[in-house]
Parts: sequence; C-alpha cells; structure tokens
Amino acid sequence: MSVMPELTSRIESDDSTAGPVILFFATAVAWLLIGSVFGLVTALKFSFPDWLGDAPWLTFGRIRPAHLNTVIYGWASLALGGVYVWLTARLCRTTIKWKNLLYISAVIWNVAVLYGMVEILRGNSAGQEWLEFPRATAFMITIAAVLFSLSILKTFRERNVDHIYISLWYILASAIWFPLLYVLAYLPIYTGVTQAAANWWYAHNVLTVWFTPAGLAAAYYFIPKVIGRPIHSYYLSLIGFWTFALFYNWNGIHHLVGGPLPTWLISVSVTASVLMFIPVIAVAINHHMTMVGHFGKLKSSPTLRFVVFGAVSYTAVSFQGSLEALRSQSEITHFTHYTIGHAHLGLYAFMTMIMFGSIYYIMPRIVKWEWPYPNLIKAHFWLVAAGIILYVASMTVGGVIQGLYMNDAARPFMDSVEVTKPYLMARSIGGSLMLLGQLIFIYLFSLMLFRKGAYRVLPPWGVKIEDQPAAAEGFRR
Amino acid sequence: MGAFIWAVRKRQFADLDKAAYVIFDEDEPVGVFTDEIFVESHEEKSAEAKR
Repeated sequence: MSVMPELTSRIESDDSTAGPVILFFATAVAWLLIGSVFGLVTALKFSFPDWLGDAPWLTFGRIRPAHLNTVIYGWASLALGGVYVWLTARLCRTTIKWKNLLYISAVIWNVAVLYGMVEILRGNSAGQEWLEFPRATAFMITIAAVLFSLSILKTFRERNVDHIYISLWYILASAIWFPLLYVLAYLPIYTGVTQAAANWWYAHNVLTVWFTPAGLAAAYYFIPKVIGRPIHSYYLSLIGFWTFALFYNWNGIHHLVGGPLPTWLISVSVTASVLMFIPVIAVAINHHMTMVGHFGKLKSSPTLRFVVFGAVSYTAVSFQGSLEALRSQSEITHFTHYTIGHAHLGLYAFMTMIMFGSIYYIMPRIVKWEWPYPNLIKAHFWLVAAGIILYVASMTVGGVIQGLYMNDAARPFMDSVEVTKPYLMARSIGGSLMLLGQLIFIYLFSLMLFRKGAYRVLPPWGVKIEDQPAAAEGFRR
Repeated sequence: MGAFIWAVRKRQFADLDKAAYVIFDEDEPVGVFTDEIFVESHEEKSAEAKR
C-alpha cells in the first residue's frame, strides 16, 4: 500500500515531539491544579478574610503571589512550551532537534517553579509583582528557557520548508525574546523608581514576548487547520506581527500612570498602547473573517470552540488594555478589581482557553488515542467559559464602581470596600466553576496519558497507513 | 530590525498568496475538516468499533 509522503512526514514530526510535549503538558496540568486552588483560596479570602489566617503560609500576602507564579510559570509557560515544540516540528516539516535539551529544560523548569513556590509560601518573596521568585529560581528558569530556545532554533535551522508561516514567526520571536527579557528584568542594577519601571516593563513584556505570541501562534494554526480554510488575509497577519513587535514592548510603563516617572516616558507608553489597536485589529479581522461561514463547525470541534473563544477574548482584552492605558480611564480603574478582571481576561479567557484547545488537538496525535467521553469535554468548555465570563464581568463592573467610590472625596474609604462585596462573591463563584471544569479536564487528560477510557475510533490522521491494522489492534486491548 | 531585513532578503514576503496554504498538504488539503470529536457519525463509528 502506498503511503502519502506528506502524511508520513507529518506523523514523524508529531511522533518526534511526543516525549517532550507529554512531559510539558502533564506537568503544566499539575501546576494548573495547584495554581487554581491557590487562586480560589485567594478569592475566598476577600469574602472571608479570617479564613485560613492562622497559618502564615496561607495568608493572603503569600498565597496570592503563589497563585500568580504557579499559574504563569507553571501552567501557562509549560503548556505553551508543549504547544511550541509540537507546532515548530510541524511548521518546519521536520522532526524536533536536540530533544534531550527539551527534557532537561522541562525538568529544570519544574524544579525551579516548585522551589520558587515553596520560598514564596515560606515568606521569601522577592517582593516585585510577576518577579516574586527568588534569584535562584530565576537563574534556573533562565537556563531552562535558553535550553528550550536552542532546541526550537535548531529545529528551525534544519527546516524543510522555505516559507516561515505566521505562527512560526511568533514562536521564533518568543524563543529569542523571553530569555533576554527575563535576564534583563533580574539584573541587580535597579533601585527605587527605576526598579518600579523595570518591574512593569517586565510584567507587561512577559505577556508580549511569551504568553501572547503563544496564543496567537496557536490560533493562526488551529483555526484554519481545523476548518480546512486558509486564513482570510496573509498580508494582514504579517502586518499584525511586525506592528506587534514594534509597538507592544513600549507598553509596560502605562502601569505607572500617576507614578513618579518622567511624564514623557509614561506618554510614550500610553501612545504605544493606543497604537496596539493596529496589530489587534489586523488579528481580529483575520480570525473573524476566517471563521465567517464556518461557525457551525464550532458544534463539532472542541479545539475550535476553545480557540475561537480565546481569539475573541484576545480582541476584547487588547481593546480593553489600550483604553486602560489612557490617563482618563486609569484615574478610575487603576488600583481596583477592574485590573484583576483584565488580567484574567488575558491569561485565562485568551491564553488558557487557547492552550486547552491546542491540547485537545495535539494529544490524540501524539498518544494515538482519541479523547474519551465527548460530553465531559463539552462540560469542561461550558464550565470554564461560564466561570471566566462571570469572573471578568463581576470584576469589571465591581472595579469601576470601586474606582468611582474611591475618587469620591465625600465617601469614606470603607464604602469602596463594602460596595465590592457582592462582586467579590460572584468572582469566587466564577472561580469555582473554572476549577470544576479544570478538574474534568485533568481527569480526561489523565485518561489520555494512560490511553484509558471509553474506546473511540481514531481518525485516519493518527497512524501511518501501513501501521493502522496493528495500531487498531493495540487500541482494542 | 535585523530579522525584518533577513526576511526581506530571504523573500519571505515575495509570494504571500501561496503562503497561507503551507499548513495544508495532500493528505489534509483545503476543505478537509480535521477535528470532529463531537460529530455524531464519529460517535457511531466508535460505538460500532467497540461492539
């Protein structure tokens, strides 16, 4: 029987990534559980401040940064690591190179996050938002990131395609930018106001160079690939990428509107934030127009549901972010729960949802086992979608009201606290729904790891044609 | 800036009409839906195979 060379090549690419990708995904999922529990405890403490207050390591000041760091460096970074590895091999039409570096990278990365989490819970946070991990952890993550990037770049160098697809542009940029950014942020040369500027330059740019490219790279691959239609405008996608690269890294200082920095510096950042409308609109038009006429397919594909949800959220969070940078809005929403809603719209509704969708697509192709229990996948989607919508809506509305109360000199400060109570409870309910959905996802993922659960026919893409009879026999065992 | 110049020199922006098609191939061409976990016929096939 003749085997189509492209099918064989694609399966060889997928197979070469299986070990590292499974390691990245499995550990990411473990951190998702740990980080989400920390997050829910943090949320509940707003409604029940004395709860778990006796043990120092469970107090708000420790559990909140533990949530942030385990979610961003544990779950999100390791999940995107797996997606990058798989996509790079596919888009370069080759097998993954220097695979051992990826294993070492994943191990070091996990040890670093574990150590950093313990140190934060012990009260040894570095004290800067997004940079709470101690220097030893930062050193380990830098090593891990460099090893990871070397494998990605080596694979790219040995590619079997001439054209660099738009997703690959985002991945390559990310692989080069992130280690540089991380090292620069941890240099022991910043003090006082400069330290605050460097802190927020990093905190915003880690989204620029690490999390956002991952979401966009995956969306640019999975939306057209799943529906079988090329993206609406390749020209727009490139305009989006290069303007993204040009404007996004200037954005971070808008977090310090009203702070003790030169006005021109903040104005440059606000201007760059508004210019972000250009790449965001380019991406939004492309994603939406690619889907036009194919929305019915959302019924059939979990990947498409999660990724399209994430793509829509990207547009929303980016528009919101550009407006938040304006001084007139910042006067109301800065230092309120609105910012927390914005952060979760970005890292959960956009980035995490796209990671879920990507994992639903990638896992069957590397473990050669179809997802069992489609109804549980639907439950996962609806629980996390409802949860994050409730979360973001409650924080957005509650945050604006909180800001208006804080700006009203006639009101005592405590009024601005009391008025947020129902919104904070709604946030906890939203977070609980998200955690429940994630527990379902973790259960399904565990079944996939061990090829357990209800047997379901694997579509023809998963196994080389000559191997299909043997593979099918294997599945039935 | 260096990456942009490199991309221009390597003619990465030369034939953008074809570029969007690089994720498709003979086996999974344009028009083929590649994820159908929730499709009923897929469910039925699975049930039959199990029997």
